Amino acid sequence: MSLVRNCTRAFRIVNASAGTKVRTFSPLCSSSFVRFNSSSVPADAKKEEKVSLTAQIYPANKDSITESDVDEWLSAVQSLKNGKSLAETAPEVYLSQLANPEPFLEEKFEPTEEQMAEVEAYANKRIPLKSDPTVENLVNLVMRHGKKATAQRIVSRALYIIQLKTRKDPVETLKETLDKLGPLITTRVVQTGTAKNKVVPSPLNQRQRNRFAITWILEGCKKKKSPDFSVRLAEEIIAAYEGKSSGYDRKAQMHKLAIQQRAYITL
Amino acid sequence: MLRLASNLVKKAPANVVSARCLSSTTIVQAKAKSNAGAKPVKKKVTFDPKKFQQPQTKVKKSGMTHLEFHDAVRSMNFDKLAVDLNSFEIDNLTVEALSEPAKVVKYDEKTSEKLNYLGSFKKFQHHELFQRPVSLVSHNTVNLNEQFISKLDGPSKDNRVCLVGERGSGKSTLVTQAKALALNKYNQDVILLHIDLAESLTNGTSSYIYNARTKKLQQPMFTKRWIYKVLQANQDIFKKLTLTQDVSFQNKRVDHHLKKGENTLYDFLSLNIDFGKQQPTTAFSFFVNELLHHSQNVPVIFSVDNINTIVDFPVTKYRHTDFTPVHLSELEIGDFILKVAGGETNFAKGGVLLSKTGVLGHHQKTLSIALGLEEHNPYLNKKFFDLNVANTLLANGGIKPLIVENLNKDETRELMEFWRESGVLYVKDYYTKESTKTIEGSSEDKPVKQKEEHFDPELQFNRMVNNLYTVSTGNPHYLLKASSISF
Repeated sequence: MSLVRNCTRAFRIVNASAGTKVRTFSPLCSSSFVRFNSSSVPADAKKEEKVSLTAQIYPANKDSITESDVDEWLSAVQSLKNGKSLAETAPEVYLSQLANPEPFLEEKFEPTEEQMAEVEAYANKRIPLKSDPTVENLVNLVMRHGKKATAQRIVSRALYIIQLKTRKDPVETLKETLDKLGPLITTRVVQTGTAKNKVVPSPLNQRQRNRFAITWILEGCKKKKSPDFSVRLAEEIIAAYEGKSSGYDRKAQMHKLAIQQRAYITL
Repeated sequence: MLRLASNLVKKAPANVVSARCLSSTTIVQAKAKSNAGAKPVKKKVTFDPKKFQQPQTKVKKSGMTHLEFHDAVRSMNFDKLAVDLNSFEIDNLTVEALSEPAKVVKYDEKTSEKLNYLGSFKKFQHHELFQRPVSLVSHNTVNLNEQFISKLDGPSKDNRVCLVGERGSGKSTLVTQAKALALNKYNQDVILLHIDLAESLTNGTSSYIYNARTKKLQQPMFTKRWIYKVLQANQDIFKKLTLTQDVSFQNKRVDHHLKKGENTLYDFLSLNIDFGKQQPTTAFSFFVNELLHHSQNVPVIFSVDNINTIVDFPVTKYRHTDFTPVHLSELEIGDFILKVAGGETNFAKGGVLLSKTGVLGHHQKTLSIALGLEEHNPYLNKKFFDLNVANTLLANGGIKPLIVENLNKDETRELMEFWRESGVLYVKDYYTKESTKTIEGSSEDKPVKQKEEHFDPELQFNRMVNNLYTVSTGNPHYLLKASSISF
């Protein structure tokens, strides 16, 4: 009802200021009811397309309002105030709709063509990750006491040195190194329940292979002389990339053991 | 009661030292059996250090370097492995090049050598990424050219500029560019006096002695090293400038008598070892007087980087004999800096270019008040504000602050384009998780690569420019960090 009150108040101000029989309709009055769903569609075009029932019965955007219009309006207001439930005349229909402004205030989002095109462009795209999963794995294995930012700094600096030394994409260099260093197969002890346990070779997945390789690289770092972990890590990764890391012996040892126990492989 | 107590206490045997009885239980302490006749053996307690020493086997550790990250990166000659810049068409930094802003330029070889001597290419500036130092001509360079380089023909007291800006905005790079531009403008005939790390003056790292004649504390090691840098950077111009006074000194028991109008400033600086002598000398004041005289013909640019480390903290780490701390103005070079920056020592042609460091906090107010960036508060703590230093800097019309702004989007794009071409920035597709889908006809979940779309590097590069410009707000330091140093 506050909307109706505001409307009538604005109307009275117009009446008082004009003082003539033919008064111009205040833009304030009409604009307070207008809601645009999308900014890109011009307001006029929208109006032309969609004229509401109320506007047809009682057009609010009249150029001029005569004294009889005002009388009609006021009598409609009075009759509705007195408790008339069924709206009959045009102003009554209009005012009864004003009293229920919810349908006008509903905000419907209508995307523009540009926005639709943008959505279409991302239709088959997957959600991007913050960083490379391999690098993330390395960061997590470098991390101690939950200090992730420190671990990230160490890894970033190490990759920076690798980039400077190899002049290639350091993430690709790291992946290549881990691929070269990571073992393909490991052995597990299976308890048979009798005197002798079986040592069974079992294949490793990508993440397990990376974990072995990273652990060996981190062990190799300890033998380097720089006081800075990032420099030691970079040196060890570069050494592993060039095929000089001690991790390769460990890998060969693992493979040798697995080959020895190949009789236990069950297919 | 007494009878009861006497009943409780039973007679102790002969070999018992003491006996205490509680109710009916008797606690006895037995005496150790003594070997009658045998002498007690006293064991001599001696300290054998060998027992406690760790076995000293020195493990020889491998590795490329023993240095920590920043020093390692700088000292390992990574620039030699960089992409050859000759294949790119990069112009030298000249005054004419300023007509085209947002352009990556290099320093010509002679200028580069001079700037290298002066320590202009600093640590943390990531020069190791490229074959030779490069920089971007930005709108800041154009501003500095208008406000500083174009006024070098006037007196230095009217041409004093201090570069102010946030951390990593390129203040030190701008000082380097200013020197290169001046060398280009005057065809290498400029005297460059540059202090690259002002804090090394006051941080207690050099020896110091009192000169009773000048009533200042001299720092022989600092002065000697600085004079060496200045000499190496300016040797061409110093060879052209003859002395205005006769001077005599001794070097390695050989007397040198240099005559005015005959010997040059280069002779004086290269033969005189008084700068590093651990006794009072007047060599530095002689050198300054010569510079003042020659500044009528040759412009002198005096530049100090990290000026706020000494101006905001004027109380040095040095002590007087009564253990009171030494003030900046009591040091010979500190006093020289303050006098030149304040305009009291005036070069007839030249300018003073100061630069702040953004690493320090904003509690110290001396420099910002002296530059007029903040209002003076008379109730400020002495710890945060030195009135004398501020007044010295404010004398003769004051120092003009030049605010170094971040790069705009065009400049960011140009810089990133250069990084991409020189193999520093890698344009890659997004990292995505491998999606798992059930393959038809099999019950197992297996990773399936989705149909790969055509990767457009140009589109991705544009995206990177937009993203990184937003992340770094055009700050070159954070831009490089976000694009090439964070993985």
